[in-house]
Amino acid sequence: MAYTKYSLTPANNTAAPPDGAPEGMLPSAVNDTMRDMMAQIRDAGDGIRDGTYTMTAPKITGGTITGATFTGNTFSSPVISGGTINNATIGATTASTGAFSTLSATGATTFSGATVANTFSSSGATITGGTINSTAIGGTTAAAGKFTTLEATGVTTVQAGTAALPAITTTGDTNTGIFFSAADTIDFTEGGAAVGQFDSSANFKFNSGYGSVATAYGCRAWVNFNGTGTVAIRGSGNVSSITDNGTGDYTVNFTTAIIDANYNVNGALGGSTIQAIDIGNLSTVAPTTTTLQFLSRGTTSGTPIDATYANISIFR
Amino acid sequence: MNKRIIYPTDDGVAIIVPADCGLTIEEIAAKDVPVGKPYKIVDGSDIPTDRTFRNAWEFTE
Repeated sequence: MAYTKYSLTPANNTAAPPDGAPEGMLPSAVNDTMRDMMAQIRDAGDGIRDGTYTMTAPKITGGTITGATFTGNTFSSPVISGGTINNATIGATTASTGAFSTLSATGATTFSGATVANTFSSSGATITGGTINSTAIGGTTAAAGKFTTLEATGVTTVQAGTAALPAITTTGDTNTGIFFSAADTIDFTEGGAAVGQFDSSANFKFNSGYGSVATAYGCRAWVNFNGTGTVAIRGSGNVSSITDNGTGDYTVNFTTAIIDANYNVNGALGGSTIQAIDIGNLSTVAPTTTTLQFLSRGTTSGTPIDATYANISIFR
Repeated sequence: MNKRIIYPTDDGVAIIVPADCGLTIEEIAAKDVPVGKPYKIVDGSDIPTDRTFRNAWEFTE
């Protein structure tokens, strides 16, 4: 810009006309100097109006810029304290860092390569792709929705539910499933009616023709063996071995010990004669938590005889 | 498991017949043979099938 040839100090603009107005300049040069100044003013004005003038350090400390378009400019730390941003793309290939106190969108909102932190609230957000990582889903009011696959690496919590509306159920049969009727209790329901329960004492209760949900007492060990000829076990559960102590004298050894020796023994013996089981009598010893010794006695002779079919079951 | 564990008793010999319980014959011997009793692991075929005089059987090392 040629006007920069002028000095900001009036007394210094003493160049030869028309670039300056020195003392004693000829009157004939005055009009030339004025015409030059007019041209310089016009040039500066046109430069600002047409955008060809570069302001190296402009300072706009007030006022309003109306109807202006900023193109290709970078604002390093603008403060927008009001107004509206319309038809603008926020962000680029490199996500910017920033925070909005409130961000509202009335149309579709796409997060590409973005991290949504803290609280994201939406009355009808649809996430159609991508991955949700390290995110807490849900709140005081559970949302309705479906996941094709839902995996949790931490604790998954559901409501307690009822027999009519179990907390864990299946599509189309919502009155059948699992619910939690009390602390430390797991319940099962079918058709809206409670049919089973693990109570807070770890008792398993179910209605299997009982007419009500009642505690089931399980068989803790059983064995069926042949005590004659080649003594052999036909089948067993929680039995590590049987010991052939002599004629009609056997010991059942439990794989896992029974909680105490006050268990119930059911025995059925069969062979060449009618036989009866004899526990804790004569040569046998009292039941223990790990073994049960018994005699197979002939009901007529009373002497021990081998049993072809020895069936023992332990209930506790 | 066609193995048997035999050990002496006051009256003769006891024969342990293993069940299919997931334990090895050695584990069953360690668990079911009375503490301090010597025992042997033998084939089931080594045990007589005629038990007429079962109470007269004896344990030999």
